[in-house]
Amino acid sequence: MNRRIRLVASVILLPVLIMLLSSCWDNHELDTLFIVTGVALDKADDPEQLDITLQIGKTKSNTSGSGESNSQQDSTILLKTTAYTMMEGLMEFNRDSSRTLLLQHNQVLLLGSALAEQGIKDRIDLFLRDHEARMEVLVMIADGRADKVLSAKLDQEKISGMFLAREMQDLYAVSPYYKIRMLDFASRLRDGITSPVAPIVAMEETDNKQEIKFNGFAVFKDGKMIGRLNNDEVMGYIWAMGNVKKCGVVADCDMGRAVFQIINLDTERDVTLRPDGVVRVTLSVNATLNIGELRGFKGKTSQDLMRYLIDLAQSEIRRKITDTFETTQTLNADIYGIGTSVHRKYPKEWKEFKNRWNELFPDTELDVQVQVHLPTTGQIIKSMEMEETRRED
Amino acid sequence: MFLGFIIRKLRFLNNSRRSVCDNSTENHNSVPKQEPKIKKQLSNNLDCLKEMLSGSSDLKIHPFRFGPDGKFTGTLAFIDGLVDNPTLTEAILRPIMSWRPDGKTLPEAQELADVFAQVVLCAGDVKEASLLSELASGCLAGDTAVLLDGCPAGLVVSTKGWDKRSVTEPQSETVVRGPREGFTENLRTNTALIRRKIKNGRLCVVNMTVGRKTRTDICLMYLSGVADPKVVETVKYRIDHLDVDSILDSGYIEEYIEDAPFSPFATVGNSEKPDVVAGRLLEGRVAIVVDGTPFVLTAPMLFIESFQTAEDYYTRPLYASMMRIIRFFGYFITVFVPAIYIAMTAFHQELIPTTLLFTIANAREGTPFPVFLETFIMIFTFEILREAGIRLPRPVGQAISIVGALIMGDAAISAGLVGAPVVIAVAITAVAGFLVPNQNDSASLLRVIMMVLAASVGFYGLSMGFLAVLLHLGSLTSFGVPYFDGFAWTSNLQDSVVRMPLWSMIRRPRDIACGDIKRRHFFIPPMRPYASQDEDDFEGGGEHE
Repeated sequence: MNRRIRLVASVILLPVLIMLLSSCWDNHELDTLFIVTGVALDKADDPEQLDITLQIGKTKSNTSGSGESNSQQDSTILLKTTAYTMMEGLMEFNRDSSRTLLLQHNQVLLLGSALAEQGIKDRIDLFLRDHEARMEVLVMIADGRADKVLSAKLDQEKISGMFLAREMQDLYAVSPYYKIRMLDFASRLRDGITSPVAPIVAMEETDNKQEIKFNGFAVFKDGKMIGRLNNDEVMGYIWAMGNVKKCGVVADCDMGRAVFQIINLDTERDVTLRPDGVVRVTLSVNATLNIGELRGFKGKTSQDLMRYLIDLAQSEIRRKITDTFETTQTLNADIYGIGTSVHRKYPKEWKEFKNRWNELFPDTELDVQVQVHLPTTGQIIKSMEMEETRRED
Repeated sequence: MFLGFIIRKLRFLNNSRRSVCDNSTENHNSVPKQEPKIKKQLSNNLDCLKEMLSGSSDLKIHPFRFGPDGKFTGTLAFIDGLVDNPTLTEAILRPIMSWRPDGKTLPEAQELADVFAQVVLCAGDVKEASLLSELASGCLAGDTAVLLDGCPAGLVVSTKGWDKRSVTEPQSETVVRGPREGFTENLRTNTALIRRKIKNGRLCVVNMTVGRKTRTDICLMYLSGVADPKVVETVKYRIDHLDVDSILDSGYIEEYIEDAPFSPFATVGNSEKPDVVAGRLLEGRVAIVVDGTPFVLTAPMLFIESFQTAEDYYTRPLYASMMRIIRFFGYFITVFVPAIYIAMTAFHQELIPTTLLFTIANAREGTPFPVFLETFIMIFTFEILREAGIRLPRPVGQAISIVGALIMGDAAISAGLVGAPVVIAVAITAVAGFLVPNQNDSASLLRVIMMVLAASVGFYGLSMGFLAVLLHLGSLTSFGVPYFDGFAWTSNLQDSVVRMPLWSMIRRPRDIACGDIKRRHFFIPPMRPYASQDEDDFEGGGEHE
């Protein structure tokens, strides 16, 4: 009986003790928090130091405020400091501000291009180590200074951090390879074989209007930004990776201009090791397209054009993929993860290749085979221009 | 666990007290042996009777003379208001007054009581009594006592008839489709209402009287051969051993006989609708009908019963199943939503989507209280409003709801006292609570406990609380039947989270019913039309031939 009572008492007391232990440990009322929506890191004057900028979404009381305070200036707070490490900066912010920083809702980590070129391997430790800074954070490179992007006052969204997150979500629907999260970025950075990429954004100011533009991809090697892909080359990269859901293919030729919409584009990658030690990559692209718009092509019906258009689309897709591949070869950055594919298929040989991959990659041969399906011509068969010419005949 | 200890202590005290009481009742019982018998002299008897009823003014005594030439004298005694006057006149007074026996065979005064009972009175229920106390209790129950001068026995004639509420639609359980009659305060009406649903000889009705002072009539009803004899015995035993002063409502009985008196969950069911009680009887449950209340108790009760409504069985199974699932969600919402809101906004902001977080943060901006206090105030206000709405007369009650809901809610937000999301969370909590009215009391209690847990340790506390509630529910029993029965694979799942079509419910609930466990022997889906009525089927039939 005595033992039983002791058991019962301990069963009751233990949870109670646990409660005392953790009581209100992580309790933060919402009105004591600064919700961080963006972090920008820039090169400081002292190369050892960092310029840290935090963007904080400002909360406004719905009840007491009058409707005028809705202008964009009021919707964010920018906190700036210069520190040796990220954590020191955060500690300083926490000391000097009225509220605690909440990093969990951070949308984007913006790295200034100067800092990116200098090297970022030793700068992002906190974003991987701290449990509050989540691996889901988007990584982007700012053309120029990153704090400029965060301070942009936009028409579309009040908070530029939210704008970037939404835009990426939008692009994610096109292809998952557009969206670079901290997890993807850091794992490639650590891997050393596959080069990390990150989208480049730039703030542009025209007629007192500020806009954020998407300016291609930055290519990293050894933690340093070594080059960039322009928007066209990014498409070549996206198509080479496959799993594209909607995207435009623009093809120009003598007869006119054709714009296709990708309904589905899948790419299969195969690597073969030639006896002479050269890696050969075969990309079989299987695309289902839809004719988006046709301009020109006088006197032709879509029926006649079908074969021609398919060829046109195929060559355009092949051209872009090849162009991008050549660019990456000149940069000597394997952004596709071809090295990993070789590793998978030839694990024994890879042991030897691993250290020489930098020398091998520029010599890699690419073979692109494109299969295009054009199931429909859209809602009309002939365009206005085509019909006119037919009447003249 | 501590509760169990307290209960055991209480039981012990109770038992010791009962042994004392038993002695006293024995003493009490020994008194009637010396109680005055009915004597020959009428005036003597009347005096005694008056004394036994404390000389109450509503005891009416009506002396009369009868027989040839008014040879005999007699008296009627009854309580005014408890007897039906036309019955009194037709069954007793008129036959006695018009009784003209042949002069030669005029009976002796001593035999008059016998003669009256057998020959004269036109009543269905006439009892001879030799003790004055029998007359007194008869009078109190609404019967009429007939005393005759010179006769050492009295008659108790059933003339019960008092004003009672007619059978009306029940207030607490309304249905769109289904029977609309509800129980009344009259015991016999209620048992009759149940009998009318189940015209079967195996429907047992056992009478009991409980309450030292109130002498309340209680009827135990069950289908013998279907109900578990053990449960019937347990219910009988527990009611038999009640030693209480008064029973004014079935709630008294419920509290005395339930398995877990300190649980927030009720382990005895109740209903105001005869069809519901009949349905439960057919599943093998026992019904306890208490005089003076329209709420009939049913035992054993399962947790799932709270989520089953009468209408589930009267509407189509798909719709009924959907509504039942919604009811489960409603119960979950009403218990957990305020707690989840507190845990999310105070501890786990990372769980809230960013846009929603900004919306909530904007609403929280400038509100003076921590989120727990804010939620608690609103929940508390809601309980106040609900209670006020129930207690007040109906016209005023509406005014209260308008003041409470519209003015106070809106004003509290615009004054910046509470945030709008809290009001929304509390509103959905309140409305969802009404989906499961039977568990409203447990939900109100658990909700506050969960809120406290969530406010102190976030989701950790919430999950602990949830587990504790589950463990408690799993350990509860109702008259020996596991309370959570109906969710387990061993029980009948045709009528649990979803309601299967009636024709697929072959068995009665396994853990409740006993003996005659099958409702029918075969799986009988609805009939299809005859082949000859349908051309395709007709052709098919031809091929078959």
